[in-house]
Amino acid sequence: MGLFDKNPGMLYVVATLIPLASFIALLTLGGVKNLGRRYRETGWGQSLFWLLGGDEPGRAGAYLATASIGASCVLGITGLVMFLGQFPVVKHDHGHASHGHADHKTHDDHGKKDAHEKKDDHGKAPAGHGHEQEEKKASAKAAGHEGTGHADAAWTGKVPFAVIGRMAKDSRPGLVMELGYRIDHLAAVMFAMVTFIATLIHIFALGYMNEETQRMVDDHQAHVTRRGRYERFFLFFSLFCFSMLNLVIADNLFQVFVSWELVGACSFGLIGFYYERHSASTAANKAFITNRVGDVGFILGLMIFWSAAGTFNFQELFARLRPPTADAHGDPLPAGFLPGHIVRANVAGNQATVAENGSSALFIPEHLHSHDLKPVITLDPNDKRDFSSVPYWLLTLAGMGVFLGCVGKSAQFPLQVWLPDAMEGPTPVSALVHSATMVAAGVYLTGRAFPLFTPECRLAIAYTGAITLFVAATIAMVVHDIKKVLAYSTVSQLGYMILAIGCGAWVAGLLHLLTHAFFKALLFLCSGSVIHGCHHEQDMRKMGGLRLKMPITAGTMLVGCLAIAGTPTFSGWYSKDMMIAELLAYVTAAPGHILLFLLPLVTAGITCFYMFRMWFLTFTGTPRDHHVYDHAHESPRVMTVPLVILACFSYFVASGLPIWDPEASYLASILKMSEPAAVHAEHAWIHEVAHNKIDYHSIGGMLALLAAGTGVAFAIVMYLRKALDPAEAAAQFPRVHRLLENKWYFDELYSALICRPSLAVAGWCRNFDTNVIDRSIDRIASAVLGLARFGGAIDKHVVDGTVNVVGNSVRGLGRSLSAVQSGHLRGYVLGIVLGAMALFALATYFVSLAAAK
Amino acid sequence: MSPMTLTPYLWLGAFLFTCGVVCMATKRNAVGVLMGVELVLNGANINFLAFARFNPAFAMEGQVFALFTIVLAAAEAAIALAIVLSFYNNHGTVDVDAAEELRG
Repeated sequence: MGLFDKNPGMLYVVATLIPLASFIALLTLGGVKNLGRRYRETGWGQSLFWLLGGDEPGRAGAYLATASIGASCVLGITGLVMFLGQFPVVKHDHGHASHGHADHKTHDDHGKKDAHEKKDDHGKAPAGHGHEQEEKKASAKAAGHEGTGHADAAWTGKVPFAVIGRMAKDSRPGLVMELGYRIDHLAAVMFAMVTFIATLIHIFALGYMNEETQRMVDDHQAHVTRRGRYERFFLFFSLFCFSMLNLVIADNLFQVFVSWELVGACSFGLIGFYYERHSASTAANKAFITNRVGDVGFILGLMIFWSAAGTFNFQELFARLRPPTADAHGDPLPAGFLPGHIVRANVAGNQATVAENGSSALFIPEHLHSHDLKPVITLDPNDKRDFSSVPYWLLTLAGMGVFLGCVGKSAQFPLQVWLPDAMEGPTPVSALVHSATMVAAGVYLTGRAFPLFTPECRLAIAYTGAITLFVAATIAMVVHDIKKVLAYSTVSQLGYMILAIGCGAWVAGLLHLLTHAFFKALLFLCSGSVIHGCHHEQDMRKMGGLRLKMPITAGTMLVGCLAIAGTPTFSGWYSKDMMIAELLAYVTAAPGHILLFLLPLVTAGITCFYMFRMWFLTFTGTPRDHHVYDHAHESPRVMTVPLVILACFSYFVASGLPIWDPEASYLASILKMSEPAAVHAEHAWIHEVAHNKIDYHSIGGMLALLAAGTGVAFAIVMYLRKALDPAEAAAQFPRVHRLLENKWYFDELYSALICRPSLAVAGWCRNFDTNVIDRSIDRIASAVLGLARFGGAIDKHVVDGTVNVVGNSVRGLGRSLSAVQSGHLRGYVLGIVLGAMALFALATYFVSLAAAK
Repeated sequence: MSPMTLTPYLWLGAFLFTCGVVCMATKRNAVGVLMGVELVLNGANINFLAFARFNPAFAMEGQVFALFTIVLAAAEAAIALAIVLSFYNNHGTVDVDAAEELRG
């Protein structure tokens, strides 16, 4: 406990590692059981197997996973309370005496900071409005909210685990890879939200995945009977929770990337949970591959940031990219260096001249002194002050790259195609992974990395969000599957968040992230309850009138629908109202981007329409399929209790006092503590301009309510009162209806642009391999075979032939010589005589020779 | 008449030897072969006696050798006749062409 007193951030590290421990435990025990399955008949194997639960999938693993995430939840909430105790919410931001330049690794200069808050002449927001008071507040706000300045050493920590390369000319290490965490208000709240929702969904899944506890399960879609997989589900769930929590507390981009990939892998395993179904395994592939396309951009961004800035750490990147109000020694910045803005310069040779539209962006060294900041700066790598620059377009590209990763992860246009297919996974997966947490990771990173995005990049972000929210909402109007409605709704709401962050409404976007997590998880769990109660019927055309059979589900789902519609005092109202108001302010100050306001406004109406369409089709009216209606039943308590808890949170999570004030959200004020200075610096002028023109809060609020009301009215007229026939409405606009039913033909487009060419190229490669490579190898093989046969022929005829000839000639000689032995007596006698005579003749000859000598 | 020289006696001896060899080589009857053998021995005998008569150093030895040869011829004829008898017992004939068992 002493560790936690001194270093309360370790609480979060422990809370992140508990699900990892659960995963490892489940993996080893499951792996041992699987490997031991073959030996379960004999001796040791039998007892071990029995110990691990035998042939039936056991519940122990699920309880372990749920207990571990529950423990993380307790630790997360404790951490949040402790953090808020140390850094309480301050409504108007003067005098954050305890924080200041917490960006720098060296610490806060408390005393000097206070002195310079008063001084305030340089480094203002370029609004040029002469309200001294406001400027002071503005700069103090900027000073107070530097980076996400509310943290200190007790709530951060890092462990370097690798050092890669070395700087060119000196002995500084090139890149230090670290594992680190940094808790600030955003991270604490996000952590608590993720663990809380995850715990509730684990409990829900304990009941929902019940049929996997049977020994053998019939899969009706894949027409196969397979073993129950209860433990596998919770295995992946635990790993997912660990990776998501790691992502939330990470303090550097690389760690985020590692967690990014891990959540993608868990999502793959969970979407493809029923892997015998072709649709499920295809959907898992689609999700992972689409994410991967986004990750190309992420890696590009990582590469650029490393090579330009030499670090992945968020705080270091923010500090180097956007100068604070005053430098490390407390002196204000000289002219030309705008606090919180990227410093533009023109680089020629090794000199950088600060200029408003310069083509490069300057990286400010960490421990700068304002007299180092001159209009002309020398970029000398040997210079210990370590200025460096990066071409501005490259910085924009890096931001776009990181954002592309978010596009992939959060299913934004053009990579939104994977999320509706991801509904192939079981409903708890859709609730946790694809609504509240994993897809939120993209938005979270966009919010976290906000200071890294150049203004051009942010405009692209805003438009991406706007397009996505509109396209997805229109598709949701015509789908019939209850989960697909919620999937498209998720895509659309994520578009809202991305649009908000892109337009500088940082708090609004992240507030919507948090409230959306609660009511979307609620909606998905309710739909899971409906599916479970209707025995795996997901088509809304076969439902109807279910509120009498499933009252708790109907009631909680209604709470969710009201929350997403932005009904006053519900949590969604606070976030939606704030977003619409900020967007109205943005568009007032920059009228050229009117689309960025019209699209979300119209979509707010469409959102209400399709959500209430879903509710009316499912729960009201006469049942359209009596078989389904007769067998429908309310879900067991293990499933309905989380629904009720989530419904309470969907109402109360963003509330504040006074209850009729949409800006009074307590959660929003917590998030405001974490707002990066860049947000205020870059977007303060919007508030100034808009505030002078219109009261965008109240007008925005009214417009939002109007749009919501219109949408609900249409839904009531078409689906509750049945005064208008939806089929006739569809018939009135056949082309539009067809476009929406076919999901704007994105799948067909990608199939034609990407899949078919890839398959064609694969076909060519296959043909090349079969016809060219295999054939040449076959030819070589037959040549070798021919050579072998030739050698054999030589051996048989030449070598053996020689030996045979020798043998035959010897035999022939022998045979001919044996003719001498004729058995003919008189011939022998003649032979003797003649031989004797010959001998005598020879002897006489030789004797005469000798005598003659 | 001129005095007798050695040469006619050697011719006689050679002629008898040759007749004996031809008889040995061509006779089918085994006893005929033996007769040839006798002729050969007698031819050699005449040779011996001729040289005894015309070579005073060899007078006595020559005649003794002739007597030996006669005795040996007799002994050898006895044994040869025993072989012919045994041959007749085995083959039922004294035709030497019947003795073909050692053919190769």
